[in-house]
Amino acid sequence: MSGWEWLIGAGAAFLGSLGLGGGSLLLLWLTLLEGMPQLAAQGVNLAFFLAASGVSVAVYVCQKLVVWRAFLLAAAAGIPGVLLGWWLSGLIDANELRRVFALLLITIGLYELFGRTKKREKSNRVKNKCETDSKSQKGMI
Amino acid sequence: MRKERWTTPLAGLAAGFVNGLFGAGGGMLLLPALSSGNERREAHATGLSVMLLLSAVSAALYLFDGRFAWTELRPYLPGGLLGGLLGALTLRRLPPALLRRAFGAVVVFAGVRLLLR
Repeated sequence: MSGWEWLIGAGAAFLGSLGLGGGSLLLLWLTLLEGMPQLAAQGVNLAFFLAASGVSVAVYVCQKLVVWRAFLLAAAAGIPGVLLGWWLSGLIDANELRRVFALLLITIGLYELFGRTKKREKSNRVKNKCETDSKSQKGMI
Repeated sequence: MRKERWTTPLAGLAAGFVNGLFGAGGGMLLLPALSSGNERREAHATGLSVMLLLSAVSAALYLFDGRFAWTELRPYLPGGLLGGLLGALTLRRLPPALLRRAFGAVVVFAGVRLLLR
């Protein structure tokens, strides 16, 4: 086990927990520098994400940052999507689809990067509910 | 209770498809849809929670297929657990506008890299 693996693991998990695509960093490392085959690297990346983001999600649930209604809608629709994507990944050469996905990402990214900031995005209104709860409990004692 | 847009399940379906096909990147499709109806940091936290569940399904399928072994994951785990915790404790402190721009930059980078591969 090398220090690089610790560092890449920590960096990918840090970015991933913020929703900033940490998975791409680990995939890049595994395929380009470790020479792992693409499908094996994808599997390792998925399993890594489970452990790393499991910790993050526990914190977000505690801070009441998860919007459960949106979670249920997206997750229920996402599971059939996973099955379809996984099934296709063993059947087709995904290069054409990869290009389409890349163009879609660039479009989304440019919109997020240069699009107008909404008023609510300038505010800082999310409270740390874990902190609030613990403070109110202390007050009660 | 906030009204979720019809784009949320559609983005969930697309995120699942991309995650199953490429093993990463689904969250990048999901976040803009979640951000349109929710506060930015809530959207990122919710998106990560959805991707955790979808990645569990994808990883189980990849493992079932014998595409990777758990042992290959081990060297990255200690750093991963530490980074996941530090990132989660940082999210609430980040201004939403900065989070949006950082997300945009990462997504453009990922798209260009994918296109040039």
